[in-house]
Amino acid sequence: MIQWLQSMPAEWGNYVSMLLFCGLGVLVWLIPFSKITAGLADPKKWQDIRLWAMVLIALQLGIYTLF
Amino acid sequence: MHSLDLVVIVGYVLLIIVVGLRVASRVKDAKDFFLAGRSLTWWVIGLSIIGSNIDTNSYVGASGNAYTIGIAQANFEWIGAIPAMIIASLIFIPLYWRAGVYSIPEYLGLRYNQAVRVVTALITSLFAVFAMGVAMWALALVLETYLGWPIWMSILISGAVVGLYSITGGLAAVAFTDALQVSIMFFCGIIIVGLGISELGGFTEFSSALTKDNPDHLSVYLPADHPQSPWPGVILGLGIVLSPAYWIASQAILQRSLGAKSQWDASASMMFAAFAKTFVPLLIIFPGLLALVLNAPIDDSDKALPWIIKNVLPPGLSGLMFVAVIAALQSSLDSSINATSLMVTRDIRHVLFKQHDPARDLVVGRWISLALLLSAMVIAPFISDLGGIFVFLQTGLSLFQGPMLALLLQGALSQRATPTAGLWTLISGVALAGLLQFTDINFYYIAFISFCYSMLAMWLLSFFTTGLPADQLAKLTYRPFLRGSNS
Repeated sequence: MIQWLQSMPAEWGNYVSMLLFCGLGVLVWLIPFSKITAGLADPKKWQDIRLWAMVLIALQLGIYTLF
Repeated sequence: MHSLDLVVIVGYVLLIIVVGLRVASRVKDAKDFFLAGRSLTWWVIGLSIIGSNIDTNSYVGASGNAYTIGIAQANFEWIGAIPAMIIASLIFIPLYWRAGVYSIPEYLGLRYNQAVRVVTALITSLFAVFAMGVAMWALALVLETYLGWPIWMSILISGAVVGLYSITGGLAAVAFTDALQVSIMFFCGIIIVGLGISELGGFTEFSSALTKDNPDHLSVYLPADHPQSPWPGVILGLGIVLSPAYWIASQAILQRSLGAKSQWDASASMMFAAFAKTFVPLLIIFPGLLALVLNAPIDDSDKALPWIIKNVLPPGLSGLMFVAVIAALQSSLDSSINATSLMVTRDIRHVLFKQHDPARDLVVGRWISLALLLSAMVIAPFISDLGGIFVFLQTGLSLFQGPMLALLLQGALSQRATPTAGLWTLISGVALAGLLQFTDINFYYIAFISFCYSMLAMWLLSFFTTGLPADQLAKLTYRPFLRGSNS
């Protein structure tokens, strides 16, 4: 299997990484808001760290597209 | 060294000691010492996480590796960190924080049994002592290079400075000094990027000069048959195993999140750290690339960063950058000391020696911190005999991170994993990874193979052994995707 992997071109690494980040983005939104802000009396929109995660994922997609 | 540089260095050392001792005066008990009294806020923890994470590998090793293999080294900061940090932030940190544990082995002890707790604490503590020796050695090497101090004197002085605030102030002192150190690192890193790019006439000129003789140096992935960094190995070994195992199981990293004042602060701290992590390559990768473009006359790639500091930065800033390098090494060392002291004090001493007196934990924790620091100082001079720093640390991690990750994943996300399955999977998984070290398989693949084995072994062994009662599992597992779940 390792030999088979070694025959694959390097740009596939970029595609696989981008796919993983997109999958992670979907996973993040499956977590309910109530679980993210558990313990906060009056949760604000900026405290929804799923949005922070989305910005991070967008940055990573940019990086793996560019390089 | 310019006198201005010397003033900056002395000023930094005094500042760190004052901040550390000021925080130290608030330490009253073991909870204050190990978890900062659960009072830390998200941005302090986030900066502290990055401070602990940027270590010997990063400043001494990664710049050198970037000089050799280019931007592919940045995968350790991107695919090799960000996905795992997001998962840690949203799933694992809330679980640990709610369980009220002090350490990851303590969580494993609750989820599986006390034997698993002791074995994981022993393995990670043993590795941490070596890692501390490596950090101490690298710190001494930097001091020798810049100040001309003998290795033994560098070890003694740096040990005394780190020991002064980490042994007295515990996690709070470590977190606040880390936050300060990371701010200095970023400030210096941005200046290096600005000066480097402007010296070359802009980013386009920089990138064309870099890729002229090194066409792969701006490619984030190298060919699949690359001996050091094959792209499938990077994704499978680093992205899927080593990175999640580090970000969801490293005591030195997660301890500050467990010291957060609320569950949200604990989660947000890791997400904030992930933002900072995205830009860490500016600090540790760019200097290596810049040294290459500027045709640095160096015979060893690990000298890329020292060369940049000496030749690109003006007096004063060169001292500040030197301070940033010391800061990176110090912040990893102090975190390791506090985290390992916690594991020895609570996870090993409480279980093996049946000593549960919380009132004595603070005193014992401080003595153990001192013993760990002294051990690191004794080991440090012999570290150079172990080969390259980067390869040594990664090989060590690949021994146990696959099995640890399997235990945490199945333990946290499934109610099916049983205590007996956990213990035997851990022991056999580490043994398998140890055996594979004698083959010519790359350590990324070793980590991936031992992880796959451990996942399968856990699954199968859990069929034939008895699990924990449902009410216990309810507190220790987290199934956030089920709206009606207990968590």
